Amino acid sequence: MEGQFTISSIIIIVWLIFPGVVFKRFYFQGQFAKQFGLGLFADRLITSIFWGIIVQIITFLFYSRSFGFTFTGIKNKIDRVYESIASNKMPNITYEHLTYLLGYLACLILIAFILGSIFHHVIRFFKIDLKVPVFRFANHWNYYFRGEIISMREFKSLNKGKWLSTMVDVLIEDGSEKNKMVSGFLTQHTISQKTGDLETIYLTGAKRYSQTTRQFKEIPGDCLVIPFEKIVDLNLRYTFQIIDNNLRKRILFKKTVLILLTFGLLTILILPWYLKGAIFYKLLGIVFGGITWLLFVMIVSNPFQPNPQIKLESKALWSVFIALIMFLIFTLFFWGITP
Amino acid sequence: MEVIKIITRAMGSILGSYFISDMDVMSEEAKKIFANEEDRKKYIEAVEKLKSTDSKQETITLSTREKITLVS
Repeated sequence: MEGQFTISSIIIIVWLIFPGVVFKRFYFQGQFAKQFGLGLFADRLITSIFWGIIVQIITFLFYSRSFGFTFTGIKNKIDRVYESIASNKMPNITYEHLTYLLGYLACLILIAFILGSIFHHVIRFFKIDLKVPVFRFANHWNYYFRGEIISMREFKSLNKGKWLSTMVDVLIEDGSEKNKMVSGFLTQHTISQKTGDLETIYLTGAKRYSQTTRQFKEIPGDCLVIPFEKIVDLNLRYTFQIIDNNLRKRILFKKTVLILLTFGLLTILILPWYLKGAIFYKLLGIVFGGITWLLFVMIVSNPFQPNPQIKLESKALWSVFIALIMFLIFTLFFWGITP
Repeated sequence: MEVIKIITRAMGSILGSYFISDMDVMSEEAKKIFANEEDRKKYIEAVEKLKSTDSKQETITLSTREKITLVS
């Protein structure tokens, strides 16, 4: 009974919880990374199992289609292994079985990583977390400090362009009767690993208000570190850049690259597994296909390139085009779809 | 050789704009401005002006000759 319990626990941890944990590790990234370890253990366990099941279903569909497995086929193999264990015999596991099993595990982790990253980027790119509160991340300070609140309905009137930096006026409690007023540009902030509360803010170009001269005076130093417990209140002041043609071009360039590369690379990663051919050739095709797509994106996004020093002129453009054709031929050859 | 350099830089620019995620509490543009001492001074002065005067917007020219108009 104890043995059964241990085996089933290992199966649940490896096949359900672990992929869910990997998914969540890459979903909570950047400034939201600390949310990964926040909350009750039971909550984290349930959400890990939920995402683990989703990752498991997608991986199974992908893997079974790629290698021609069926649910009944796998069940029969597991039945045979179980029967051997139940009758105290060593199950007949071949090297081929082990390769497929380890391959499946690697695929599971890779898919959990890809899904977690995609979900995160989709939610951030389309600002779904700002518009739908359910998707909002726990680190709400980030939305205020990055000026992202201007995308929320209640702060829409503040939107004056592209956010550049945030200036903070802080009233600090220093133990004396009069509190100290400090002002500076916010460069970083830290969040508590346990509670998710704001811990420290870091300012650059900091100045303090002098009661005698009634003016702000520069604080010598490069970075002012203020623990949150010392802060009485803080006032945020955003600086925006007015969106002119140059900035519009830059935003368009970034969005074009992001959309084209994401959809293209995903297609290149998935498509070969629906084609016939050896795995090694499929993998080579993915590498060459990725480079082909990168060259294609270079050509397509070139008119939107904001930096004139990097913008490709006709000679460089032709070179990229020739390289693209060559890589495309190799890609098609490896995937076995040459005319 | 020059063409290869340009292509490599263009490829680097594309990969950079794809993989470097702007998630800090200071934008990539502001970080570039703060990295240059001269630009940093101009930027801080412009922001101070926006804060302390009635000025609605301030235009500064960066060392790259790029003109940016700031509002607060």
